Amino acid sequence: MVNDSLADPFVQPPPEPDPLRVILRPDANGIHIHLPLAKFCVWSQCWGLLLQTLKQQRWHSPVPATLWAEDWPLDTHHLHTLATLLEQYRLHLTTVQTRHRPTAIAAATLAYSVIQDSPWTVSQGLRDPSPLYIHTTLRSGSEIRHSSSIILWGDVNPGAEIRAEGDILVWGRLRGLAHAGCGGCQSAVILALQMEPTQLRIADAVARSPEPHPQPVAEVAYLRDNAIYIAPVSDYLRQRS
Amino acid sequence: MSRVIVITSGKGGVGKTTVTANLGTALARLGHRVAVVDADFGLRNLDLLLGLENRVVYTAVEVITGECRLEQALVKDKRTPGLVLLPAAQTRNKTAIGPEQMLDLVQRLAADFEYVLIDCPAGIEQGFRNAIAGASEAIIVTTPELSAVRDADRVVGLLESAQVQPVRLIVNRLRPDMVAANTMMSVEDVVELLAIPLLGMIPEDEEVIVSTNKGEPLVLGEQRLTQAAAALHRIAQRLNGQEVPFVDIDSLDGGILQRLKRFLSQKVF
Repeated sequence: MVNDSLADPFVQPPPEPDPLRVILRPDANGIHIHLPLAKFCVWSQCWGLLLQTLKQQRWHSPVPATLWAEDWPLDTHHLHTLATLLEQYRLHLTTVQTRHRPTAIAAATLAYSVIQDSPWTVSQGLRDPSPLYIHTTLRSGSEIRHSSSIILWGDVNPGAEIRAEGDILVWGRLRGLAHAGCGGCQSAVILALQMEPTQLRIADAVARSPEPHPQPVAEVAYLRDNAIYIAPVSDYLRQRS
Repeated sequence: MSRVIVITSGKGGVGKTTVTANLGTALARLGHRVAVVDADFGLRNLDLLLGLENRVVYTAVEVITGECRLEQALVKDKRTPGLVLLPAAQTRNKTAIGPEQMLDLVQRLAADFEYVLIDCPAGIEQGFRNAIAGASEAIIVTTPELSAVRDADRVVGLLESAQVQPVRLIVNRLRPDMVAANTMMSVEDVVELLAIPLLGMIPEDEEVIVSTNKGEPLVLGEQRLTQAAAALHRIAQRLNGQEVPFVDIDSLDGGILQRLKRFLSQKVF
């Protein structure tokens, strides 16, 4: 692995996707697998290229891998087959980067960490302004990141993390960590049907969990004067109108 | 001179994390500056046991990647002055860091703290190698079961070849009634098998489960100390270089009153 990039992992931008090549790029977080863009070839070609590239490699101990799926529409079956192939080469798929929303949902369903944007483009503003909609239970150890808002239909368990540059709406029980406005947006809010988080963050503010409501009501967390407040959704809406 | 101690076992579920949390707290209450380090990346628990889960903002991974300073990642325990936690990342796995990076972290901690206690993950793979990288001594935790002792033996060997010295033993979850009935290995049996010096023995205690759920180390018990908490306090004192005599195993059994109670209940049912 390349240790030079440790000081600042974001220093080196990812290579431009090559029309007819799968690129493997090591850094401090493991191996990054860059697929060619979907507009240049069909999936069977891409799969063949991947096989070819992997055959030239050998890892002696398991290495975490990030798949840069870019614009490929991949379902859970695709991802599962891919992960199984990678395991044969001792690559352990942990993270999927994609610009395609169904792929993000499939990856989240299989409990991979999802990056909907490359970290190199985050500072340049929102590239994908559409919210990410996911139907799953987010369990301990999994993390979802998105460059806009996230709507999660399901629970966020303790130990799971959900980070959005926009709002976070949890249609279920929020018990893990939620970070809204992680790009610095101070007007971002976190909404949950049951608000029992380990920790809440909005922009740069951090708050610990309040005592859970005896009779759970949908609540919203928002930032005011650099402090995070929580109010029942109905009160919050009345206050704003 | 600060001491860097790794708490390890090989087998899972024998009480490494419980011992780390309680020893850290007990040493801090003796007036030392103590850092406890969670080396169990991906399956962290130490923050939970110390009741600090919701105060974790940065983890060791962010320190290593330079996203925050070491001091920013350290979580202070407000109930125990002098005690801080360096949390592990939950959304990563054991390969998130390497032994050199762990060594660097531990050396930076050792500059500021008298004791650095490292909670090792179960197993002998990369997580274990990371955890022992910066350690100058080790505590082996085992239960009086053949499987745990066998794994402990393997780990003692690995620690010896990694030149971590001294390696001392804690026998955990001891049940004096079962030892008396000859249905459980005795502490002497375990010590004889492993051939390393004994640091202490801790009786089985239901309160451990309660304290884990509350996020409150046993040794904090203000009004009454359970037998296990008292045993942990004695271990902390021994670690600190004090001569504390080993307690007779039978007296760990909850004292005469409890034994009488058990005797009576046996008669009834």
